[in-house]
Amino acid sequence: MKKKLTLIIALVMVLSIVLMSAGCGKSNNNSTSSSSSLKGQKITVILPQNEADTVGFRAAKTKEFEKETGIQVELIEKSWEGVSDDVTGDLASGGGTYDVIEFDNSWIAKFIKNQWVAPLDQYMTADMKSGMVPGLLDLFSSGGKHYGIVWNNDTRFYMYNSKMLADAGLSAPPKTWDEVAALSKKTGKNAYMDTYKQEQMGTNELMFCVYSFGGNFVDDQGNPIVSTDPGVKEAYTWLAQAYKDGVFGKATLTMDYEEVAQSFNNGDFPLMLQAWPGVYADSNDSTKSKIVGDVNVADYSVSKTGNEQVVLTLPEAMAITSTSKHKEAAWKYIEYMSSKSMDKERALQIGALPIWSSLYNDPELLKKYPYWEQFGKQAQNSKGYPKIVWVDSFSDIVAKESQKILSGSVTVDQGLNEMQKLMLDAQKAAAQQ
Amino acid sequence: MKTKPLKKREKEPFFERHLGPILITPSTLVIFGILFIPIFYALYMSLNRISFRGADTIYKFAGLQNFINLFTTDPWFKSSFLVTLLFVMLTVATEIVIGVAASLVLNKKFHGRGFVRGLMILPWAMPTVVNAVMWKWIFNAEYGAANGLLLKLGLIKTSIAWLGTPRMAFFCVFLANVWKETPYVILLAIAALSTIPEDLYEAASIDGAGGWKAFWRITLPMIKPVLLILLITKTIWAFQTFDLVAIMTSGGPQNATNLLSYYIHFVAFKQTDFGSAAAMSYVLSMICFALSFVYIKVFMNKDENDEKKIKKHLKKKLAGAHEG
Repeated sequence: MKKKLTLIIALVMVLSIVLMSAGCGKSNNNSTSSSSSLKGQKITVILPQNEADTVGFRAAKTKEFEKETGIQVELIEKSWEGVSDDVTGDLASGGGTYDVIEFDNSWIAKFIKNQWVAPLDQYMTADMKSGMVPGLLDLFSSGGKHYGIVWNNDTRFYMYNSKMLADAGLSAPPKTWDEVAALSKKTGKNAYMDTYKQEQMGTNELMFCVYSFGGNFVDDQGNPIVSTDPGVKEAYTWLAQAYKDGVFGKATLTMDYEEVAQSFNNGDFPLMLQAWPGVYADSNDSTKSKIVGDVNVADYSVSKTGNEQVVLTLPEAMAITSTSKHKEAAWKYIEYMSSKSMDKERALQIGALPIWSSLYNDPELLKKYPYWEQFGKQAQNSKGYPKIVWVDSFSDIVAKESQKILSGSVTVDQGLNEMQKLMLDAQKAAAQQ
Repeated sequence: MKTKPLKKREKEPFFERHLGPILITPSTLVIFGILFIPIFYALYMSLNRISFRGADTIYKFAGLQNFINLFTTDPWFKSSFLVTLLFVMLTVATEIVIGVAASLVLNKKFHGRGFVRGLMILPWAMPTVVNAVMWKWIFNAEYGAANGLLLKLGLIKTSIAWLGTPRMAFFCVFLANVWKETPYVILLAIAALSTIPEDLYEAASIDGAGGWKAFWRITLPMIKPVLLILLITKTIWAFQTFDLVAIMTSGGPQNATNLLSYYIHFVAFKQTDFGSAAAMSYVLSMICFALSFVYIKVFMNKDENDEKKIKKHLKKKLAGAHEG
């Protein structure tokens, strides 16, 4: 009896070791995507749950996709930062976990250089290539190949609270940065709030300011020009003075996007310089906003003289990992979620900007979103992150050094010189990798 | 206990003879898998420059260059390192001082002691992420409770951007950490206090020692082993602080809260420079190891001698008093 018991314990131990080793090792499931049917295949999709989809549109449509195709989808949605960590960590360790991933506009150079994403040209139809907004397709392309299909056309627009402006005696929103400062001086309150936080979102908004002064952080070859570009210096000089004068709130150094939007919808300040499309819908939703009916979209964006028109574009795409074992099923998911009919439905439901060009002239959409006409005018010159491999270091340097300049810890010149030095070092380090 | 003669044991079945090693093998394998392999792999990574091509990871031997770069070319490592040291020293000292003081109070008998003790544990029982989000909102410049309270009390006239200036942000993260971690000190200190025999205090009282003297001469030496454990674990945990910074400040403003754990995460997962990140992790681990070693050397030997001396001295006195 004792011997038997000992034998059973030993067997259980051996079995558990075997099972553990099997669990620790990589799956050897070689089910190929070339099988006759994709039904029953399982793909893993990881995308951020962000301000663009507050009603769970993606999750609902993913369920419909599963029903229609028989392809199982494990949909992972978390914060952008969380997705960024998971995707980078997985791909850097050889990949294999995800089939469809978030492909942010700031990752393009790095992901393509590391061969982490697969070209989509073999799957894309002619309709897609000719019908999708050319700028969005081009942005996620390199060497003549397409790598991503946009799911979030995250282009920013200048919105304002017309009632607050009328109370301040203005009939139109400020067109120049000096007019923004004058508005604050007149009312004795913050003219705007934004996020200049030590994070990528902070860099986004600082980039807009620099672009709108006609400046650039890097030249066309990706070389840093921060200390010599006059537009950069003018932008930071204005920002440092505006911080002192209270043109924008001091909390801007710590707020994130959601907090800024919430504050705007509470009627705390009149200008939202780079609002994403969903802000307009939220500001007119009485359950979320105290300024229903007061928000308008300008025909222009704020700039140095009124001529340097630019808006920020930070689109996010879906891409297929180069290590995916179910590329065709993954493509089916991307195709389904970015079809023209789905794009229209998404626009109708959550106010997302379409990725198909023709939908900007769709009568039903224009009836629901008449302000898209103004969006169109502002979006004529949209600009995003520079396509550089060291973009994460770039973003980090801009966010950290800008805070020193804004708060007066260093002068504008000192801050920009330091930024230049750090960027050159980062560029050099990236080249050595 | 008698042991069986070797010959007799050899006749036993294999599994019976080796049951001990067999039983500990799975846990040894798990420990080896989750502890030693990553440690050695991280060392290997720290000695290489790492790049990626599709599913392949390319290692290029770099010797100690990643370590050297931390102190020569890395723009943020030194400041991050100093901020971390300051954070560790301040939080560990504050948590232990407040924790021991609170445990002395909670060790006294008073009405509702159990309830208060339970209440004290709450912050520690709360998940760190929840704690961080809570403090982030408390210190929110626009809607935060801190500003709301101070404004209502008339102590400030305009809202303070708590997380907007370097010193203030550092203080806020420090406060959030102390609030979360002090209950653990209280918990262990109360447990240690309850083991001190009452007769030691009686003897000290006969000797004419007051409360303060009794604390220094009896309480503190008697709870020293627990304090040593607290000192080691608190130091290691403080070095590992990540969630608070990630949620409350993202390392800002101006890098004032960019603690090493957070910075390592940034270098690894944002810059995808896994070689440098592994080197930083090793530096951090070595510091923790060295500090633990120093703590043990300094406190443990002295501690054992002190305890023996006190017990011997007080028992002698107590015996004398009873005889008298």
